[in-house]
Amino acid sequence: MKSKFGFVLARTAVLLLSACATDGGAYSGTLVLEGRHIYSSGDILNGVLVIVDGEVILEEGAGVRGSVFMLGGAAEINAAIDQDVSVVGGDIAIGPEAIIRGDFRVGGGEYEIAPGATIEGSILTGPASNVELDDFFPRVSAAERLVQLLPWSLVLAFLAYLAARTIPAALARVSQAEIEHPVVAAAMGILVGVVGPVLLVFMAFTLILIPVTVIGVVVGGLMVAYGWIGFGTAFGRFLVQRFNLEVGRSGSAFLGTLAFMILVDVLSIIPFIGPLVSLLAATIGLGAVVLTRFGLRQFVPATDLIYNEEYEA
Amino acid sequence: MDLFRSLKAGNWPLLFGIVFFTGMMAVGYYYNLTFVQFGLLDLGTRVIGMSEQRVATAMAVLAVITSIVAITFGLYMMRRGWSEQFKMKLRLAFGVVLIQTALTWIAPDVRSEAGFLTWVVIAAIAMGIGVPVTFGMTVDLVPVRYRGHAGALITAGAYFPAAVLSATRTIEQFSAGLIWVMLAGMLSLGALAFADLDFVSRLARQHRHAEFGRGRFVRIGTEGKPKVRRSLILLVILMFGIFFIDSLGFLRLAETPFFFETAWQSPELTPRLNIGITHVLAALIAGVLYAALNEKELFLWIFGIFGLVHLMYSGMARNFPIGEPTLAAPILYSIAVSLYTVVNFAIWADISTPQTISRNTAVGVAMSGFTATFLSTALALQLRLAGVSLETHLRIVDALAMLFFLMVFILIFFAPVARRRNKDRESVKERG
Repeated sequence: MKSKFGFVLARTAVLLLSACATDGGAYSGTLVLEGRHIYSSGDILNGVLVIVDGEVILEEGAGVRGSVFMLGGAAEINAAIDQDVSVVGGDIAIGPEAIIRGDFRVGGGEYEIAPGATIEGSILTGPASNVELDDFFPRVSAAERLVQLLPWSLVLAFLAYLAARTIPAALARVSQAEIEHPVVAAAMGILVGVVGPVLLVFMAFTLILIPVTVIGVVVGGLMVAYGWIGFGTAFGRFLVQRFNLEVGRSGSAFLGTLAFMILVDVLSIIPFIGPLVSLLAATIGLGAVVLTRFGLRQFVPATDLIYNEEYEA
Repeated sequence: MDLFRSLKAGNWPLLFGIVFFTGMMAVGYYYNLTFVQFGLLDLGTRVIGMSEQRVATAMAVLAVITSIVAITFGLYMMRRGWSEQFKMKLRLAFGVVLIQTALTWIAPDVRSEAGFLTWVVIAAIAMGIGVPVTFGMTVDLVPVRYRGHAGALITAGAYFPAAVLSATRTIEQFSAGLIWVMLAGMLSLGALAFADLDFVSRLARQHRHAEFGRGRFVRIGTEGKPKVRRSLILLVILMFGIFFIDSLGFLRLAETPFFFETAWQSPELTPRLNIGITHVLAALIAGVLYAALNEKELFLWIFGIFGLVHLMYSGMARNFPIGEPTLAAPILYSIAVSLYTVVNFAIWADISTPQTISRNTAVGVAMSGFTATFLSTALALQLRLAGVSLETHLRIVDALAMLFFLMVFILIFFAPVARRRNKDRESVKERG
């Protein structure tokens, strides 16, 4: 029965995943950290182009299917940009053949616009530019965003299914830490979330440790995913009890994680509160994974142990 | 003990005790961070015209006298049994604050080096007495379960205003700003110490309860005597190393305008506000984790973050061009400082009983102050006089930070192995 349920789940997920296929660019982007990069006629960059440093030349006939976000370095644009060009630092020259279909926002740095350049949106400079982190990502509608997030929810739900089958005790410990000790888990999650990236970036600067950095990023991502799954498992248990569903532990984890992730995705549409809820859940999840050492031990606060062992005895 | 349940049951003196203690300690720590560290430097160099080196020597003298007085008075308190007498501690604290208020009042009018040194000696004696007296009140006022949280509130309450409000560090401003707080504190302490108040008597009995008296890391040995694990004592000793390394690194960074003027002494409010908020958040995190983690995990985090932050500073000194300020390092630094400050406020009471608290806090705080101020200042001065560059200086700090991290790691890794081996030996003996 269980294997049949798994087969049905797998088929459903494959169908849903294929339905969620989007145009190139939804998950693409280009990050320029250093060096000289020339994009000639016919070169199309999908997604956002972020220039941290170095030099980027977009010649006539090239294109960016997204926005350009410039933090530093130099850029010369003679190509078509589908969305906004936002500049925080560096030098940017908009050539006579350039077509910017969104706004040109300059919060900092130096800029030059050649006569003949086409800017379909507005030119906003200084405080009016309102350059925001949102400019990093292609603008999509709420419905499109949900469709884009659905595959991730399904992937996580499947991982939850597998985890509940293979490491049920570990998953239960992570889940328990998230639900019973959210404040401690959040505190640990923030600490790991701040110190971890600093450590990884610092290791990347040594060049020799770049592979370790890559592994660290992957492990960090898996830890966050594990945390999500922990929440999903708890949510699944709640759903099964609430609606008297007849599914096993793995099915409950799958359903719970899928429902939880969809809920988080839907909430993420609400400005400010949505991203905050997602961030908080990710932080608590990350903290719970660390506190339980990937679920290898049960987390009990140290002061609770003292009270249980000594005072109350 | 659950705080909310106790409050529901009408135990308001408990809340008063915690609020009173955190407020008193936060003001005291803020006084040390601003008035003593930066106000005295301004008084000595700008007002009196002493060289920075002479002021640094006077500060080292202050640290040494404070340490000696703290240890001597802490031991004296323990012998006389004052360690367990809350009312006596309140009266002594009133005396200390009275002297400090007078010193704060007259500080801007000191005009000679002799007057400055006299001021320093009197302040050191008052601070030395203040250490076992005020820290000793932890066992009377803060339940074991909430010591980390109390430490967090003290750290946040002291660091936030110190980071945000202290852009201009003149003795006149410090004196004018602090005198009213000191006066208010002195009057409140006087009322509590000398008036016959019921709830104060109730607070004075709290240390007899299990939830207050015996610290979290104190175990009752086979002979019925309170004991602290040797590995914890070693970790505490290693923590003195952290104070030393931190101060050694910070002293040199403080002299480097690139690092200091873009962060702690920035003329703009935003970087200082960011640092202040980071201190508050990190302190709250540390408060929660202090109660949640065991001592080994806690110390490993502190040492690890310190190693990382010092590596980061030396990396910046080597790789980044001057003129490109970044807040990443000062923010990580603030996290590390907040973590160990919270631990420093909570741990002395947690390795003590009401009988030993005055001695233990005196030794602990005096040693950390001594290592942080006296030894590191002396070594930093020596290194500067020897012409050691910033990069080399930070490299030495890095090496020490890494070494201490490694020592903690080894200690944590091997302590269970050694314990297991001892157990095995004992079981073999029993069988034999």
